Amino acid sequence: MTAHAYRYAHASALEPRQGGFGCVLVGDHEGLFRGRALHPRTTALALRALSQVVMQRYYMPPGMFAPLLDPVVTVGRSTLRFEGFSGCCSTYARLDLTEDGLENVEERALGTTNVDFQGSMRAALAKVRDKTPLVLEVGLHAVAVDTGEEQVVERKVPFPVRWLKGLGEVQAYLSRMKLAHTVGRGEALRFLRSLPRSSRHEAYVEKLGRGLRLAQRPSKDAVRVTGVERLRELEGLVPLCKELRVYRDDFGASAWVLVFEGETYTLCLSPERWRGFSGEGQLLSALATADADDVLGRVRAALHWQDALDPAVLAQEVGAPEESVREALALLASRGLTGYDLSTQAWFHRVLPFDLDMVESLHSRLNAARKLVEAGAVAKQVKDGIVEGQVKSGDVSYRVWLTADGAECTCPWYAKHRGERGPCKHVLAVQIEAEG
Amino acid sequence: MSRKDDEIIELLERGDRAACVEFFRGMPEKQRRTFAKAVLRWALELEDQWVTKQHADGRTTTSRPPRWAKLGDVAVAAGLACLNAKEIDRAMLFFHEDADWEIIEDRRPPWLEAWAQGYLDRGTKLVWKVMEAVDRGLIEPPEHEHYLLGHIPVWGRGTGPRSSVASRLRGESAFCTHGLWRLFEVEGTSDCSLAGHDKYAGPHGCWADGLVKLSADGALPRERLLDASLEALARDFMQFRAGWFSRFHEQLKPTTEERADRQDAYLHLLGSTIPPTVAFAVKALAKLDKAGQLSAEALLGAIEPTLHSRTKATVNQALRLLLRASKRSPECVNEIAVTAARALSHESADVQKKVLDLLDQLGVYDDSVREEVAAAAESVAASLRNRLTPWVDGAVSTEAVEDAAPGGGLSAERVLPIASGEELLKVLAAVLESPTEVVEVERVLDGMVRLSSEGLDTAALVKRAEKLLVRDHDERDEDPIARNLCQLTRCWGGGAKWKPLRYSTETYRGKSTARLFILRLTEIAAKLGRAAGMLSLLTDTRGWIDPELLVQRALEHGSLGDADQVLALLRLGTEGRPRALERAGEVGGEFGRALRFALGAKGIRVGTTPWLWAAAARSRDPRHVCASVQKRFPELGPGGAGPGSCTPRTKQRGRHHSLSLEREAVVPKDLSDLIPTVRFHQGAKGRFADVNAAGHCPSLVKWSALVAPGCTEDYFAVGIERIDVDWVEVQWEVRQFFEPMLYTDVVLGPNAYRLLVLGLAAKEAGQWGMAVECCLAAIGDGRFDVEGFGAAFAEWLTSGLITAGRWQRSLAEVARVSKDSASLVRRGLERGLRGDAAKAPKDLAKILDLLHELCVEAEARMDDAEARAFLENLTKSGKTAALRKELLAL
Repeated sequence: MTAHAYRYAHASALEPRQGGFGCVLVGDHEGLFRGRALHPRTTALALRALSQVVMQRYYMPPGMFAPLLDPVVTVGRSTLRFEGFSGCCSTYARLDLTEDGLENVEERALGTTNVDFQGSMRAALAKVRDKTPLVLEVGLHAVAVDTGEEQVVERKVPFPVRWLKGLGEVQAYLSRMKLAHTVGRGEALRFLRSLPRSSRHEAYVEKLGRGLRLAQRPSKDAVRVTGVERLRELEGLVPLCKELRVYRDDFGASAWVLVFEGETYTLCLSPERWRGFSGEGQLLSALATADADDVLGRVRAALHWQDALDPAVLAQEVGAPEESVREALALLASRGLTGYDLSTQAWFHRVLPFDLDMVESLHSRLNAARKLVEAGAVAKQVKDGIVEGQVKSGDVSYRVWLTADGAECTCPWYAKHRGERGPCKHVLAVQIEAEG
Repeated sequence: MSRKDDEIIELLERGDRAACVEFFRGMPEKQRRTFAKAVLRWALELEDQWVTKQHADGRTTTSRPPRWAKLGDVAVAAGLACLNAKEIDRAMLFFHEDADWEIIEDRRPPWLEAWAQGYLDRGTKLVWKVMEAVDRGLIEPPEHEHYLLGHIPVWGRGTGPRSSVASRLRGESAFCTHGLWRLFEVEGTSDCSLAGHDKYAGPHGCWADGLVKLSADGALPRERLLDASLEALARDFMQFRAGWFSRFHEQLKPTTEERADRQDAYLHLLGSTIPPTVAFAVKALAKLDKAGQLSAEALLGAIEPTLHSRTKATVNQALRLLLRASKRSPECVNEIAVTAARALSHESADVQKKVLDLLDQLGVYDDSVREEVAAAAESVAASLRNRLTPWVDGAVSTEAVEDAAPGGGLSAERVLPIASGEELLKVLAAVLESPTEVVEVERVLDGMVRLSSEGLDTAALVKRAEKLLVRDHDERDEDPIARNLCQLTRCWGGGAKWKPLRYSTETYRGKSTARLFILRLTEIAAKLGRAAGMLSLLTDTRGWIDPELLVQRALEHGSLGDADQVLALLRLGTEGRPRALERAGEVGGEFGRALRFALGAKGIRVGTTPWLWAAAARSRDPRHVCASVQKRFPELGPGGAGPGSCTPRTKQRGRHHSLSLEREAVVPKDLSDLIPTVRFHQGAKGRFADVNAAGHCPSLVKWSALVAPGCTEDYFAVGIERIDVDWVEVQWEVRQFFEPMLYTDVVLGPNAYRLLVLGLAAKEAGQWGMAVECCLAAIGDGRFDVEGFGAAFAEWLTSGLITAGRWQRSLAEVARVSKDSASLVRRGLERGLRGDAAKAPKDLAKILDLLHELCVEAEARMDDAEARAFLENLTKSGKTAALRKELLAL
């Protein structure tokens, strides 16, 4: 695992202060947030569930061990978000605390950090009950939990690069998802308890009466799920929730959102247990051709840590079509600048405190495609609106077709994934060549 | 190399360890380091030479000949005397002898603390080395969690009283004042934890026993042990590791007074996320309650999470606590009733019954209770709904969807041949990656026969096929379809010579339909890109070939060979046969006659080729024996001239039962690979019990279903013998056996129902889930036959193979989908209650419970006389007896 050196701690911003506004500059203060959870047990259980996901590895490729990774904490204007991935990056969990879930907020600056939730933190959270005061404190270099009886401080740790890629990809999935089912607490609990301990086959979650059913064949509105054991992490939280919302994506990812008073807990599952979000390539095409995109720069300039970005309003602001703004927001997610909140159905701005210009260099497929272009291995011609490409890679040539409906290639990657994991390097190379 | 280096190398080469130790003795650290480079290089070269020698000798051994051993000892001694920790690791110098430690003691290197930290960061396995360093006073005891945990196995190795945990701890007063209590604060790892250690430890190595003994002797404070164990439980360690602390707490046998002092801690644990911890706390509180020392107010403030527990016993225990609290504190009755009513949403009818019993006893009917009861009313079991009347106005609707009907089965989709070389390249690339797409495999085979690779860029595909073929440790090792398809791709695209790849595990897996597949590929390989087409290309996804199209193919281009002919006949579709027969007269030869015979022509003389006529006979009428073919080839075996009839037989082997099918006819030893319908009946009598005619990989099992789409009963027989309901052996491919049942044209015969009902009792979620889907599909399109289902159910009910609880789980899933499905399940169960009641499964109550609920829901009684007789003959007691009584009284 490679650590990323951070570039700046948090964004400089104008903040309302007594008698006007004050300019908060980078490095102005260490503390980002201090406030008390309004529903301590729910928040503590959700944080424990999140750390549980982070400690898990649902798929173990040969020769790999299960490292403990570390939740990312973001303090927004009205939200406090904790997010993380399972060790295999196939499961993403996020706790969003809104103002309705917090009280006595004494301090709020804007910024992001990441810490390791170690045994002492998990033990402290386990002891929290309804009447336990739970004070959360987030700083640039640490996160502290104060339960009255004990205070646990976790220090900032190096940020795993896989997460950086995964955080971008997962937002692309989330922003495309559609609400499929909503069920109450009782039905949600019954459904989760009926799930098998593990299953290798894909399954489909469909609505039956007021509840949910795990079917083995697809049907209309059914949500495809693989590795259903990943959902078991929700079971402990369900007795406290108001409802469970299930979202689906056309490529097989799903998101499970538990709605509480003032907070939501989102669990997003990748299309396959063995597919980590970091290895997906939903944004690669956009990244490959992003340099020429002027809208991207204008949208980026319009971001000021908003908790809900309305693409229509933003489109007016930057003077660009709404669709282009949406694409730009998705692209900015891959650079760690935006996230998507399913419960509000809106993008939000945040800045992961790392050298974000390096992010693109992490995508090996994109790098390989650029190398192919530089090596002059790509030939293309346009016929009837279809771009046909020939890419020489090693000692064989692959053929690529770019049409309005998508892209196709004759390489094994495309044959295996049919574009579901993003374009292959050959398609990307032809796209880059076509953009000129 | 300097003179100094030469000097040390010469010393090392002598192989005199004592001289080496003496050379470094008392040397300052700075001076020692000047030799480090030379010593490291020498040690690395020594190791390289040893490895090279081993390679040259063609053997690997850990014991070295005396000369090498001496040099190795010198390397360790010199390394410890002058290298740093990183260099010692790099040179792989292992040390553990006293003499090694003496060198370190003499040197006292500055990196020891960091070295210990590095070892501890890697886990707990090498903690003993760190402990040795601490014992020798070389470093201070580290604060690292793993150092602490490392004491568990090291001190728990005791095999006698003198080396027991208690004895070790008695001599470690420093550890007992600090480290021991830290062990209650750290969870441990998968390698090292108190729970993991004590599970396998002997009587003297058990930490729990040792601590209890020390507590009894007064060497450890009992109060602190009690508190520490409860505090550990509050940390919600994972279930297995938390279990040690609850067991240890109970092993200390706390008195009522001690428990009373810790009432708050027990109450706190009711909110734990670890179910056994909650159960432990509830039991402890029950003991306090019995002693009259549990406060009702305190209980009410903490008990709610317990009522949502998945474990029935825990909820029931909590309800009992609430009942007793209501008696002790009548002023809390209202609050108790509201709290108890929340448990009504529990999925177990038993728990719901207990809640209603409690509410009845409390007799509270105010709005707050009514509100809670009403919220959960719809999920209350049908048999209990009439008891909700005091709290709920009007009738409670059923949870099942009133108007919904199960979706029904699948219809076969048309399969079109590959139209161009470009399309073939794309589809071939896809099936190389996903060989389970067997219909696409068929299209590719047809495409390869018709379309030449000339002018197509096949280099990438050939490269990929070659890469896939050399992959080791892959499921492809057992997948003859994937492997041979790669091989054929090399021939078609790369001009390689065809060489079939045998089923690599055939020697112990037995013969299978893979042989037919390979025979067919051999025929295809002989005519790659040069034939007009295959006879046997299926025309729909179920595996059928349109009869008219088959006749047309036979007239236009003929067949590729025997395998092509056999498959074409077995796949002959059932619709449009008369029209096809009109044109089939022009097809010549023995195949032409066999084709006309299969199409239903009369007066055809049976020819001399057994596989052709076996295929024609099965195609003509898959459900009946063809007398003329049977007469001409009496030795074909089961499934040859007609369906192979079979009867299940179970045999008890220890705790397990094994299942086999007994056939009337015997499968010939020299059975031709071209008669797959007989191969399906070869049974599990090979060298090992897992012989399977349809193979052991999903793609071959799926392809086998396409071999003879009309002979599904023979195919399902393979599934019956293959499925292991208890999942003792991993068998992911078995799920595929159910897939044909989803098609609307598949008539469910005795073997289909046998497999279906076995599947419903399977442990693996994919298997029972598919069985549920098949039931729903059959119910949805009207194929579900209560008689057939009931007969199979009765067969397995008393076989000893089945766990009734699993039937309850999957049949309840079928029943909840619609009223129709509930009614059919109820009638099927009723029809299935047959046979010797004494041989019924132990947990029969679960299936009776489901039947009872379904009867109450439908307001129906059991009319089946044989089922009533079965119940009357039941001699079981307890819940089974109660349900029997209720069912008969309906």
